[in-house]
Amino acid sequence: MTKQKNDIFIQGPIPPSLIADVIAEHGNKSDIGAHSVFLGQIRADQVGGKSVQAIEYSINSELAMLKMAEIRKAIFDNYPVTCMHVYHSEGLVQVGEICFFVFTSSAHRRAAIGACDELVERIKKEMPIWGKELFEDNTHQWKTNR
Amino acid sequence: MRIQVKTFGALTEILEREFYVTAADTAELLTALSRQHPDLAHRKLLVAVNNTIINTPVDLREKDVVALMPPYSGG
Repeated sequence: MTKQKNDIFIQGPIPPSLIADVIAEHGNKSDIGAHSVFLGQIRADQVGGKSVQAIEYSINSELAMLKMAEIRKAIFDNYPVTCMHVYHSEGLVQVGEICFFVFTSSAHRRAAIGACDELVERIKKEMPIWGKELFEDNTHQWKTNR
Repeated sequence: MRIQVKTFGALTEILEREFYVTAADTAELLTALSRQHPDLAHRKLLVAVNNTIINTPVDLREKDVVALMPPYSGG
């Protein structure tokens, strides 16, 4: 299965093994001196005495592909990074599981850290993704980003 | 113009996920939908026509696809 570069979505949680694999894949790239990693995890937010058990993510996939291409280009234009890898969950992710993974690499640390930070912020702000927070009593509320 | 509307996130609890409707421009579309679904009024919405986000009303052409989206909440 080949995945288009701008299709960042994975069905369900991001497996910790994927994170290890991405790190391992860069072992033979001798021009890299720094990686920066961001991992988003589902938090058990408390709302009116109930706690979030899981988040169900839905997306506008056509718009997301276009938007991701735009963000990816802007990051490569603005930071001397050698590569970037972005994964976001679609569908159900339980509390404690990983839903968002951003990985950037560069020769020196500042580019990787800056690019990673900007990617996280832009994806949260600009990607057409919606989270539905599910509670233990089968009720839900729609997540809002701060 | 007969156009296709796609809805996302919390809007799918008010409107169908996909439907066809006739409207001359996006302002007319939103006014008509808000009249039929009072829950829509005063909601913050992002509107994309053929996958381009619009900030001011635009004329619609036959077969355009209009996405109605609540504020994003990924991550």
